[in-house]
This record gives sequence, structure tokens and C-alpha cells, in this order.
Amino acid sequence: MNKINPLFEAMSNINDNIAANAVSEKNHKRPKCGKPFLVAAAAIALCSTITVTAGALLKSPARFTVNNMAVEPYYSEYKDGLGNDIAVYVIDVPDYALGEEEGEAAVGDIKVVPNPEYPDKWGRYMIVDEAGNEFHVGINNKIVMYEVKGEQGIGTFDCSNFLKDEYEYVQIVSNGDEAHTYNMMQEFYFVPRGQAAEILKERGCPAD
Amino acid sequence: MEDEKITELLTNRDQSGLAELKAKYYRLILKVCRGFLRSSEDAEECANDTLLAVWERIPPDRPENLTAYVCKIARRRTIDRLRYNTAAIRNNELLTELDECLPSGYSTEDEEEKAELSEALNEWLKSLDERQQKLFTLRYFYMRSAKDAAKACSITPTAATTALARLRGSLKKFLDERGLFYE
Repeated sequence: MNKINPLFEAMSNINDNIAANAVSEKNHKRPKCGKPFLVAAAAIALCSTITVTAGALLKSPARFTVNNMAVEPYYSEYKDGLGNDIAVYVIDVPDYALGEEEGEAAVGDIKVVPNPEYPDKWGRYMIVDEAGNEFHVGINNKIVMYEVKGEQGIGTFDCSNFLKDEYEYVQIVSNGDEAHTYNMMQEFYFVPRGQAAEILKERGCPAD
Repeated sequence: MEDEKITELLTNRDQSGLAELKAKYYRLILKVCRGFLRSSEDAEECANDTLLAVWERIPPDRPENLTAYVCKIARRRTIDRLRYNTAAIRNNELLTELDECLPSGYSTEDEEEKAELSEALNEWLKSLDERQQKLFTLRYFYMRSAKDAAKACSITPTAATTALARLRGSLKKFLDERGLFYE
């Protein structure tokens, strides 16, 4: 007999309105972020005092600012292993970086704050914008914004064209393996070139 | 047809009520069942069992929210089927996702504990905003894929998986604080 998590059974007793609302036709689009295909926001910093003006970066990456100084991002489009088109913007900012994408576009200034839930190096910082939205952050020396056209990419990618051979992009899609912090969680990292395999191994994921 | 009218027909033992119920809810019920079961035949059987159960329970039941009522019956029927059909797990990883919040080994044979867990879950759900409620409910009540749930919430699959991971963490913390989580 299968062991069914008792929470699944408890879910059968959820509030009727919550259950019904989930399948209602109500539109949950966020009015604040502009067009849904418009990216991502991301930001970051040496410390929490560095901010990125998200409103500016949504439509025009060239107008990204860090500490009120204009920043020219690298921009590139490439395909992942499944043939999905992915656009990536990268800003040089020391120490940390973050990736986010459509649907979670930030509002106003974005700040980096410690994430008390994940004190380990993976996800030890989180990003919050003025609306209180949270964003995840990886370890890196760059601010990274990317727009995924179509499905999210799977696997590892060679990003030498826009990361100038210094970094490579790693995406981990966990599959319930206990070695992973998050089941079914997709994690994104831009890591120094040559470290992807090591990180994948560390995270219990086979490199593909 | 309006839910009230369907309920009225069922209450009066009018078989057209069953036909209307099937016309309006069969697809949704089947989707719930398919979320758990690999076999289409099993899912269809559970969906038909659900319709029959609704017919048998109304009356005396008179649900205020027919959507939730039929989906809850469908879920329970499907979980019962799953218990006896070890090979029929369609979405095993989905079932294990909530192990982060409460291990499957956790025993809730005690009805009081079950009720306490349900109460805590509802309290936690009510603390979420509407969008979070919808995402979590679509994924773990209706057993939709993260991609489908994301689409329904107008966010990307990546944003959905990220949000779901955070929600599971939040639920774990919530249950932990109430002494309902232990390894």
C-alpha cells in the first residue's frame, strides 16, 4: 500500500471557497509589471545599499542603473538544449547576481537582503522590491536578467559569447532527489567557467 | 446550468440533475483524478464513482459550493484508489513534494490529528494572498502540473516552481510552530 502524505489527504478538506476560486476564471495578471513578456528583473550588489531601478530596466536594458549610474549590460540571445530562445542581460557588479524572469518583474528599487531561511551559500540572499516581491539570488559576480521566450531552458548552457568566457550558466532542475534543497525546484546560477560540473555534482545532478 | 439548480434537481432525485452535473463537472473531476492516476481507465472510473457518490449524497447533503464539493469527493476517491494501486502513481514526485512539509511516514490515523492538520492547513492557506492560494491549490488540490498552474496564475513555470518551493517552506515552518512536523 502506498504511503500517501497526510497533507494530501488534508488538502481534501480545504476551505470550499479557496478550492472553488482556484478553478474560477478570475484573472490573476499583475497590473503593475507591464507586458507579461517583459522580463525579469534582477539586481544586486556588493551590499544592500546598491539598488537597481527596475522600472527602467524592464523595457530598456541600456538604461539600467546601479547607484544612479547608468550601466551598459551585455545582451545576448541563444538557444538552450531544447531549442528554446533565451535572451540574457548581464550587468557587471561585483560579488553577487540574480536571475529572474517574466511574471515576477520587480517594481521600483530592488534591494538585496539576507535570507534568514537559507543561511547556506545557496540562496543566502534574497531580493525584495518596493512592492515586497521576493526574488531569488545566486552567487556570482554579475547582475543577470534574462528573458525566456517560450519554455524555460533545461540543462547547462555555454554562455561564452556574452559572459566573455569567464562564466557559464547552470540550471539545475531537481527531481525530488533528497540531495536537493528544493524538490522540483529549478535553480539558476552563473558560475565561473569550469565550475559547472563541480556544482552539478555537488547538487547531485548529472551534467548533460 | 447554475449550481443551485443542479443541486435542486439532485435533491429532488431528478436524474436530469445527474446529467447536468456530468455536463458541467465531468471534465474538472476527470482532471483531478488524472492528477493522481497514471491509468486513464482508473481515472475515468474514479470520475464516474465521484458522480455516483454525489448522486448518493445529495440529499441529504446540500453543498453551498458544488465545485468544491465534487472536487473533494473526487480527490478522496482517487486517494483511496491510489492506496490500493501501488503501480498507479502518475506523479510520484508531486506526491513527495509535500514530504518537505510533513513526512509521509507521519501517522495521522488518529481522527483528531487529521482534523488538527486540516485545520492548520486551512489556517495557513487563509494567511496567503489570493494568488498564492490559487497556485498552491491548483498544484496540490487539483494536482495540476506546475506549468498548468503557472499558466492559470499568469506566471511562468519557473516563477511557479520558485513560489511553490517557498510556499512549502512556509507551510513546513507553520506546521513546525504548531508541533505538527517532526521527523
